Amino acid sequence: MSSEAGGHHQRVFLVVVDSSPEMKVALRFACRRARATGGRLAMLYVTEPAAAEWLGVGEIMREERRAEAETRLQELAVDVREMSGDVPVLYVREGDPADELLRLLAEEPTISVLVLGADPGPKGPGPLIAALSGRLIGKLHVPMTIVPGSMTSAEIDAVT
Amino acid sequence: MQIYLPVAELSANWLLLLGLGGGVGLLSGLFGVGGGFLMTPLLIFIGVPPAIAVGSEAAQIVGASVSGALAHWRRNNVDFRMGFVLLAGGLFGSTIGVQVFALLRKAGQVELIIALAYVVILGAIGSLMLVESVRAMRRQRLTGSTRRGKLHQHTWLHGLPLKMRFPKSKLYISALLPFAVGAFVGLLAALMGVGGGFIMVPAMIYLLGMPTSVVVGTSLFQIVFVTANVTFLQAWQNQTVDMVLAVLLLVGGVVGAQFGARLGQKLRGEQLRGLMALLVLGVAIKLAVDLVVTPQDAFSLGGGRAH
Repeated sequence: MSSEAGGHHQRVFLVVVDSSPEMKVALRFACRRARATGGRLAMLYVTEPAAAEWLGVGEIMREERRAEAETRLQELAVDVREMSGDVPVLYVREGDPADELLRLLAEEPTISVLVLGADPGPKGPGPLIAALSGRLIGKLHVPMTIVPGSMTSAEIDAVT
Repeated sequence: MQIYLPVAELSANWLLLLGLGGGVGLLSGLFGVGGGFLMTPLLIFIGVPPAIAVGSEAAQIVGASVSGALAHWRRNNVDFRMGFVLLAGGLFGSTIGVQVFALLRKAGQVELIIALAYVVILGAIGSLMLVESVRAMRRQRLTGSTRRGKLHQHTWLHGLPLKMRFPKSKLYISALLPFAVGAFVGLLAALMGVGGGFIMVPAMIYLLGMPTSVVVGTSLFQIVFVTANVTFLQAWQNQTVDMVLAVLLLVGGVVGAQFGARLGQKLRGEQLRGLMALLVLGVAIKLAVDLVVTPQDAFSLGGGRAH
């Protein structure tokens, strides 16, 4: 991680990676903001906990999921580098996405803004935004930016 | 609090049955594996005749597996092509299993065989789990990393005929392999009243080489239909399915599994797995002891125990 010498605090934008289309929109927004403010990108990928624990099955599940997470983060890191001009910081955790996200934020005070994409559909914004703007909001200690998943690249570029 | 179980021909405390269902459901939610392996012996311990315990437990597993199978289907975690081959094997194995069950019953040996099968399989699985969790705890203290499992090793198994492509699992293997795995698990389902995920999931990973992401969903898909076949055949041919019992266990089980799954997300596996191993071993030992002790009790009419 970057140093904070001289009281200079580099702004770190955290995006939670999943397979949703709105995640890509949030990522673009965060990259553009980071580039504009001299900040940096961080990405968190939360893997599902192993569903079974016997005869080594749990370990293999964990390994495969971790490998999957790393491949996906590496792919996205290429895009991030292009859009933000810097390589992102990558985190892989295992467990419940909302819990792991809050734990990471508590452990890494360098993360200054959380950027999440909202599902524009009728089912609501998605489980993470629903939880963090609802019952878990008291545990959140950084600002949360919600990017509507319906925004086009041009629209994002226009506001960043 | 007492409820009469019409097929088992005994009355039992319905709260106890709900609690049993809930407790075993909690464990299976926690570990992602079958309640059947624990539930059938526990039913035997509370006095349900073994044949009825096996038949009714199969009925309970149908219900308990449906919601899991649907959830995995929705998340696209089922390899249907592989699932159908496993299912074909499972229907074959379970149908034969029910005939064997009927023959054993006629010979008066079914209770002994059920108990022996449980002693052997629970003993083996419990020991393996215990060794594994002790090793894992030690390893974690030393390095914190886990060993790399090697998949896709080529053996004679890959030379078998009837090769089939399974795009979802990225496999090109003989259909005989999943058929045999399914058949063995189907046989266990009929004889022991288990879903068999406990054995099928490791077999799918190590023997077939399937990716873990589709293993649980695909095994549940097979289990739903194989245990349904077992329930139907057991009820029809052997009259050993007590639906009152199965429904009570199912209600408790569904609630327990919900809590178990949620709890499993918060807890780390190592210590829990050790406990589960001890529990499984404990059940195996109790069954083994009962096998030896019961005849002595049977001859001590009204008096004290023989020892």
